[in-house]
This record gives sequence, structure tokens and C-alpha cells, in this order.
Amino acid sequence: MNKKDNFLKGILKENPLFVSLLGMCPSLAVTTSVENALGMTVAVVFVLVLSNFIISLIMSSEKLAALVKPVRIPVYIVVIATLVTVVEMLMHAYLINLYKSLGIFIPLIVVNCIILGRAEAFASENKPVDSIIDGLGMALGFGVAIVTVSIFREFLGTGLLTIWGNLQINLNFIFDFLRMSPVGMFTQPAGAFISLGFILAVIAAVSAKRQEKQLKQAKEVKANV
Amino acid sequence: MSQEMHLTSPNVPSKRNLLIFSASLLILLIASAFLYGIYVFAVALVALVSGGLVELIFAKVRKTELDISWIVPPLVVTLMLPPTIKLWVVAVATVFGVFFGKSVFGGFGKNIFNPAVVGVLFVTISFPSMITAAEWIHPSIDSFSGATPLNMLNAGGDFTYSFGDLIFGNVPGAIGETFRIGIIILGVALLILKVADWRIPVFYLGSVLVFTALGYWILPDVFPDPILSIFVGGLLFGAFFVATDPVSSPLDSKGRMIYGIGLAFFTVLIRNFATFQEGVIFAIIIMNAIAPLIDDSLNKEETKDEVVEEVAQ
Repeated sequence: MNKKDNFLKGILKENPLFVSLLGMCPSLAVTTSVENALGMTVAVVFVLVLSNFIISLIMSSEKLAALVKPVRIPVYIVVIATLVTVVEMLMHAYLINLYKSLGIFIPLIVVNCIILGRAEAFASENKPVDSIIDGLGMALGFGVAIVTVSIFREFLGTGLLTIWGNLQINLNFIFDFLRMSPVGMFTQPAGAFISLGFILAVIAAVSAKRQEKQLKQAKEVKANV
Repeated sequence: MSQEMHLTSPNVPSKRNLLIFSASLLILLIASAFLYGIYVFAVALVALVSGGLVELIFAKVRKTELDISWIVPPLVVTLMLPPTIKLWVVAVATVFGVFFGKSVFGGFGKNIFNPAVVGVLFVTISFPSMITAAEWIHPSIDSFSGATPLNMLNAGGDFTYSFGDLIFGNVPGAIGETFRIGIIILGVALLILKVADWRIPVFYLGSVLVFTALGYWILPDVFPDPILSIFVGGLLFGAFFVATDPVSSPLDSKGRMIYGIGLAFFTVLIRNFATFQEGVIFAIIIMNAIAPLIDDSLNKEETKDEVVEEVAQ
């Protein structure tokens, strides 16, 4: 696998949220506005890239790896928790509004299954550089997914798209044009489940159709041969 | 093939039952037109067109036939909304209810929740200003009024509506819920014709009476008058026409008694302790979710035997 494939697989083929359904808790909880989703993405990129790097460094030295292997989950958690604490303190110092609106979900990155999953599945068996690329791809894939969900939810729920701070796009004219008002339920947890389920269903339908096509093509090729 | 069979509820209503049921809903709609004006037909038309379109597209995509059952959810949605409702809210309620309540589960007979209630619940939570705090039409003085009999009873002040007005629908309320004498007569007719199971409305209304009477006896400040509480809000319509839906209610008679008692429990709880005034739709959704569990816990050994037999075969 070359480096480009390694990076892209996290965004498309093995997207942690849309394909593997990992990290559902933060993706349902923080997608109430685009700003929250972007903030979460930044935090996850930071933690995942560095944790992948550090863990693959630990595991690539043979002596350390032999020592760590029997207790590797606690070791991973210590590494991840350290990084999350750093993120939390940085956000508290410089992005106080985001810190307040994300709340408990920043410390909860520690138990986000994407991060532990990548540490166990990829970083422990691969070289540091590859692990950084994998972490970046996976974190960005997660980011793309939660930003997509949050665009749906914020637009349908309030008619606004809050990009960052005061930068806010007001799309209420679409609702005014249709003589409707925003559907408040999409800002609530039930709306998160409905919109995520709907997006997953569309993705499943599209990929099923594509697979069908590929099967057909493969059959035609076989027939020609 | 056998898997297909298991997905469908064993007591899907027959075509005759559906026709009788739809006819009685239509009678209620016509009766409400006398109370609230011709606008209710516009509401019904929007609901029928939007619900019908969803079912038609679904039938085309899944390559199934469009059966007669498409007519029921839009009519029930219409009858549960306030008469001053905006037409696009009706369309949103019907489309959401039919799509997420019925079509995604595989269509008629396979739904877990009552599709009409799903739609009404969605708009109730999304647009509370238009549903629960709507401007209610008062039929006799022909003007708007802020308080339905249910609001008045829950507020605990003086109850100024007369019992006769309450029975004949001469009060503000949702489109189909106020013509109560008609609801009772048609509802009992449905029970006699065996379109609906008598246990659900009897146990539902009886338990509401018992629970509210108990509450009234212990905490008279919190609970309203038990007899009046049966005759306000959407309770009668919900008990006779919505909760009796055979697809989403439990399968056997014992389960249906428990179902009725559970409905009453949640209705009384939400009416008297929650921020929403009316608890009927919430109670029906909650009990729809619990209904499969009731079935399961009552027929544990039976289902086990079936599974063993299937494996043996």
C-alpha cells in the first residue's frame, strides 16, 4: 500500500464513522453545529496523529515492544489520555467558547474507539511515518463525516450554519421561500439519530449499486474471456 | 420465504376492516367540518396527497402493489392536528410519519410504530408553537380561544365548558377529537364489528379513570376530576381509533390488557407531570415500543418451542 492509498482509505473506503460505525457517541453529541464538529475534528486530528506516532515508536523498538505487549491497552490509554489532557488544557486556555460548548466530550476523546482502534489495528504493526499518515487520514475522515452530519442537523434545525465564531451563514431565506420554519427536532438527540441513519442508508444504497455494477462488469469480462 | 412471513404482523387487518375503519374516520372528518369549517377538508386533502405520494413512490421502488391501507395514516394525522394548522406542517407530518413510521420498515403490516402517531409526534416536538399552543377555533362563538378544555382542566382553575358542549364537540380542540359522542358511537360500532379489539379501549379508558381517581383522592391539587379527564383532549379518539391499530399493538388478549393499562399510566403521567398538555400520542409511541416485549414475556415458552422445531426441520 503506497502512502496516498494509506491516507485516502481513512476518508473514503474505511471511513471510521460511515463505514466502520466507530465513534458514534461524540458524532451524535457534538454535531449540533458545524462549529462544534470542526472543533471536535481539530482535537481528534491532534490526538490521533500524535497517539499513532508515539505508539508506533514504542512498538517499533523490539525491546520496548516485548515489554509492552502484555499490558499494551493500559499503555495506549496512558498515551492517549496524556494527549487529550494537553488538548483540553490548550482549548481551555485559547478557545474558551468552544471548550464550553464541547464540554464533557473533550475528555471523552480518551475512550473514543477510533483512537484506540487505530492504535491497536495499525500503529502497533506499522512504521511511525505510515502511522502518522494513517492517523491523519482517519481523523480527517471522521471530521468529514461529523461535519456532514452537523451541516444537515444545523441547517434543518435552525436554518443557520455556524462555521467559526461570528462567521455564520444564514440560510433561513430557503425556509422563508418555502413558507416553512426550521424543524427544531433536528437539534435534539432524536434528530441526530434520524439524520445519521438517513445518511448511512443513502451511502449503503449507493455502494450497493456500485457493487452490483462491478459484479456485472466482472461477469461480462469473464464471458468475453 | 419463512423469514418474510415472520416480519409481517400476524394480525394484519383485512380489506373489509380497513374500509370500515376509513369510512368511520371520514364520518368524523365530515362532522368536524360542521364544527371548524371547510378548511379541514384542505388539511385532509394535503395529508392524503402527500401520504399517497410517499406510498406510491415506495411501491414503485420496492415493486410492490399499492394496497388500500395507504388511506388510513393521512386521515388519522388530519384528525389529530389542530384546525388552524398550516398546510405545510400537515405535509411534513404525513410524509415523515408514512416514510419513517411505515415505509422504511417494509410497508403495511411490518411497522413497529403507528405511522400517524410518528408524524404527529414529530411535528409536536418540532413546532410546539403551532401544535400545543395553537390558536384554537371555538365553534360556538366563532372566534379564537387560547384554552382547550384540556388546558383548562390541567391548569386547575374553573372549568367553564358544559358537559353537553364537551360531548357534542362545541369546544376548541384538534380536528377529530372533539365530536366525542360520534367517536364513542363509531368506536363501539368498530368494537362490535370486530374491527378493533375491545380490550384496548376498555382497559385504556378504565385505567385512566382508576389512576386519575386514585390521584384525585390522594393529591387533589395535582390531579383533575377523573370523569372530566376522560372527556377532554384526544383521549377518546386515541383510545378508540389510534391505540387499537392491530399491527402495532400486542398479539394476544392478555398482552392487550397490559397494553391498555400501560397506555393509561403514561397518559396520566404525562398529562399531570410533564410540560406537554396531552400525553396520548407519547403514551402510544412508548407502548408501541414496549408491545413486542409484552408479547415476548407472555409467550416465552411457546416461541422457544417454535425455534426448536424450526431448527429441527
